[in-house]
Amino acid sequence: MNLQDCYEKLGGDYENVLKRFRREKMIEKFCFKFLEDPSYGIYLERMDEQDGEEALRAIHSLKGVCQNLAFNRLYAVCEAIVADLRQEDPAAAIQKRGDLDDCYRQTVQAIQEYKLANGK
Amino acid sequence: MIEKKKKSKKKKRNLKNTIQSYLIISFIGIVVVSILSFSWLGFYMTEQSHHAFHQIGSLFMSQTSEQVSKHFESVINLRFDQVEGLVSVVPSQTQDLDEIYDELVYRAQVRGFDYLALCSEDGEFQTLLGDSIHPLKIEPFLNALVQGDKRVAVGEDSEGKELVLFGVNADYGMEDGKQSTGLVAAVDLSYITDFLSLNKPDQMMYYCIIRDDGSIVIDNPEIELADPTQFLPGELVAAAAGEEESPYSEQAFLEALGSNQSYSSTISHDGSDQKLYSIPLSNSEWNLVSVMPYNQLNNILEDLNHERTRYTIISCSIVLAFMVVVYIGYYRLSQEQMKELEKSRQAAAAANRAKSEFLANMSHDIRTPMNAIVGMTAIATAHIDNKDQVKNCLRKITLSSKQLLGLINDVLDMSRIESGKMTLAVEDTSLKELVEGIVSIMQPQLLNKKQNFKIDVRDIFAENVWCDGVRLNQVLLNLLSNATKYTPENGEIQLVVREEPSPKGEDYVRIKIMVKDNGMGMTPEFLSKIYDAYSRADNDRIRKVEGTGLGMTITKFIVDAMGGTIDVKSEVNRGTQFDLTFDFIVAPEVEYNMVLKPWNMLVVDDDEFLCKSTSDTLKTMGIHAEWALSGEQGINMALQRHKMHDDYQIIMLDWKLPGMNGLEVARKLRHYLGDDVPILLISAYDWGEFQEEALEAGVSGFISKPLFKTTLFHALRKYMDDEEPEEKETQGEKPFLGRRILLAEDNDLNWEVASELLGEEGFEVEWAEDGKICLDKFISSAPGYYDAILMDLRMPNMNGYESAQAIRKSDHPEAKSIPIVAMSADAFPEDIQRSLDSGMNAHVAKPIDLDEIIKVLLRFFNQS
Repeated sequence: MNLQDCYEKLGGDYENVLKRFRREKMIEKFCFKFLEDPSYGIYLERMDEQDGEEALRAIHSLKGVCQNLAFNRLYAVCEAIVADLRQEDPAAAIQKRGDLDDCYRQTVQAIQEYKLANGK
Repeated sequence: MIEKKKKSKKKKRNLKNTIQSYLIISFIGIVVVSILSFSWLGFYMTEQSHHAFHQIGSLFMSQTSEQVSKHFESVINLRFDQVEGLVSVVPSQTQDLDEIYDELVYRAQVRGFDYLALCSEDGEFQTLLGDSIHPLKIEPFLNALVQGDKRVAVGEDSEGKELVLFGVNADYGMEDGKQSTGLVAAVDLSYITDFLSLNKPDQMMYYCIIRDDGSIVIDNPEIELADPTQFLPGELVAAAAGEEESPYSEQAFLEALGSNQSYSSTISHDGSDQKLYSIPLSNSEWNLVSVMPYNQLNNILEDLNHERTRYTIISCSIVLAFMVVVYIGYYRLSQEQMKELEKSRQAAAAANRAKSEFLANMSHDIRTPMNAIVGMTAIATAHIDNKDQVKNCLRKITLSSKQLLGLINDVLDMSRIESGKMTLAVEDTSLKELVEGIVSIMQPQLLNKKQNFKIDVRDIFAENVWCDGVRLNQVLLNLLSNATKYTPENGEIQLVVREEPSPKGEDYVRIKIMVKDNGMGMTPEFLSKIYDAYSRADNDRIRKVEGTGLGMTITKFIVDAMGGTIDVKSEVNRGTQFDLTFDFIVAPEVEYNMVLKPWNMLVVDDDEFLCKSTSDTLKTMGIHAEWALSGEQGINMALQRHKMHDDYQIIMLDWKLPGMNGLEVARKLRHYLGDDVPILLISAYDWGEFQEEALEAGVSGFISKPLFKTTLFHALRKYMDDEEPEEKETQGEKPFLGRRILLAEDNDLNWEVASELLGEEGFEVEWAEDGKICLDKFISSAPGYYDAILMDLRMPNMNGYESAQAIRKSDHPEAKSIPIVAMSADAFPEDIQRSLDSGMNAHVAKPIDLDEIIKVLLRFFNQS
């Protein structure tokens, strides 16, 4: 499994990220770094606490990360949730929780598979 | 539908009739009310003036009569005084009667008396002067004298001449030995009549004097009496006796006379009213009666009444005429209003109709790609193992999805426009990239329909301008995709971009863009509403063509918002031409020294304009260019040079040439000139398809149209061995070594990405975890320490907007000058506007794109 396959699996745009990051090493480094990004966890916590503003910042942060790494699938879900929260419609955001969880899990899984396959 | 229309017409007519009859009835009502009230007013005023007249008459008469009676009293008293004076100076004790008489006569004459007599108690008169005289009614006269009073009376002399007698008590001896009771002096009656002006004609009032019993003392020829001796108001009023209104009563009159009281009343004589007033006169049994005929006054009053009636009628008519004018005006106004109402109702109905038609079209237009997607998905699922079929299905699904997305975007844009929320995101835009992008997007469509696409970029020197590139792109794509849609196969589509000096000033440049096709064109009727929302060239010919009909509305709106103009010329079956004109601010370009080696060059293209403008552009880069308009001419020119051993150092060929095409020309040139001269093919088409053939024919490389200066520069430089220095610049060195950037970013990963990427370019990046830290770091930094700030917008503690505002307001020497660039995933025009408003210089959308960031940063570094 190479990085391109990983991107295909997590629904990302490998060409885009390569164009911007220039080197595969860079992409790989930040993909691993993504596994440590706390934004997703913070979002879930803040939503449980019904703190809309902080939740918005967390999901916005995740959206930015996905955008940077060209994780398009996860990015799309984040963007929809950001739009909901910006319009102060938390109900709509909560409805998208399932999609978010699925996408996030797929993304993390894909990266971890890549990590295992390449012995890193 | 027809039934409905009829109903609405009927309703309209009913309403009109109701208004008409309401106006007529109310007008008649007002006429009647006006006439009645004016008549009543006239009648009432007449009555009132009659009444007032009577009152004034009474007052006037009583006053005048009292004055006359006073006058009478003084006149009479004057004479009495004289007679009493006579008595007082002539003593009665003297024995000699003759002497007394002489004395009396003498003094009477001196006092102007014509007659003088002594009067005894039994009524005998002894004449001393003049004829013998006697009063007409002697008893009351004598009684008064006997009682010691003085009395005035009317008498006669022996010839029957009427006299006024003044009797006072006097005790003189008479010839017959008796003692006299009184001395009576007399003057002519005219003394009273003249003095009281009783009998002057043409007076308002006539006077006469009567006794208490009503008998006449002094008559007045103006007062007609049945019996000349008796004042008989009874007879006077006989004619009016039957009229109950006459307030006169003879009994009351006589009673008033007898009791020495004044009396006032109105009597009627010969049908005309007269005012009667009597007042008792002193020292007599007389009464002064004044009669005032109302005839004369009545005439004045009548005249006054007539006058008033006339003016009342005139003013009533004026009021009514005015009312008529007002009513007509009001009627017309209400008619106008009805028309306006009807118009706006129709307009609303038309708008509604357009919207429902639009919805119907939309549902059709949405359904078509949606059905394709659903259908293709089903087919793909059924043939999941057949890779080719699945691929084919997916391709079709992709196409339909794109179409659907386009529709949705149009509708969203329209709703943004209608709610006034569409804003422009003005940024540094490269016209070159924009046009190149458009060409690459349009190529598949154009190829698909085998349309001939000509692109012509003339004299573009300012390639970078400030405008909303995305929206300008949208406009051009819309015009071009319309052109391909409505132009049949093998038709021609042309895109021309030109630059002119702008009338707005040196900082501006005028960009003129023409999109022209020779397709089906539009009718003048359609052309007149081409920019109306929800309309589409509703013609059977184009039913097959998909689209919302919003494209032109959106295009027009964007062009207007950019301050540009759009003109359209179209003829059915001849084609359409759109002309766009914009004045954009020229963006500062990254300074390249675009100079090439002074080579000789040949440009072969059938478009003379392109040849000219290209050779002009090349000249600015130091290249000497010649051009040929056909392949044959080009070959000839190249051969001539070849013979003189002065070959062109580079040859540029159009792919599509009339007669011999570019590949054939290339083949021949290679054959004659050998392999040394680079031959470049220029084309607006994707050369991927004919690349192999072209390389086989000896073509060295490709340049895609449009031919901007930078396009030519970069393309030609490759063949001049001039590339190395640039390569060194971008790869070997780190051009931004030593530049320090403060990056505000709350996300660890994003920060690291940015830091790594920027670090590779030589930037030294410092991290601020939120807006507050960013502010603090900047404030505590030495001037010149940071070269720029990159600012995320959404951060804890203090967001990017607040942080930028605070930095701009701080006391730091570079508070106003340090470049702050927003870097955020929030890339709506509103977000960009807000970041500019809070003091930031530019906005770069995430994901982090190093080229983009460097481009923006260079702008500020170059400025500084």
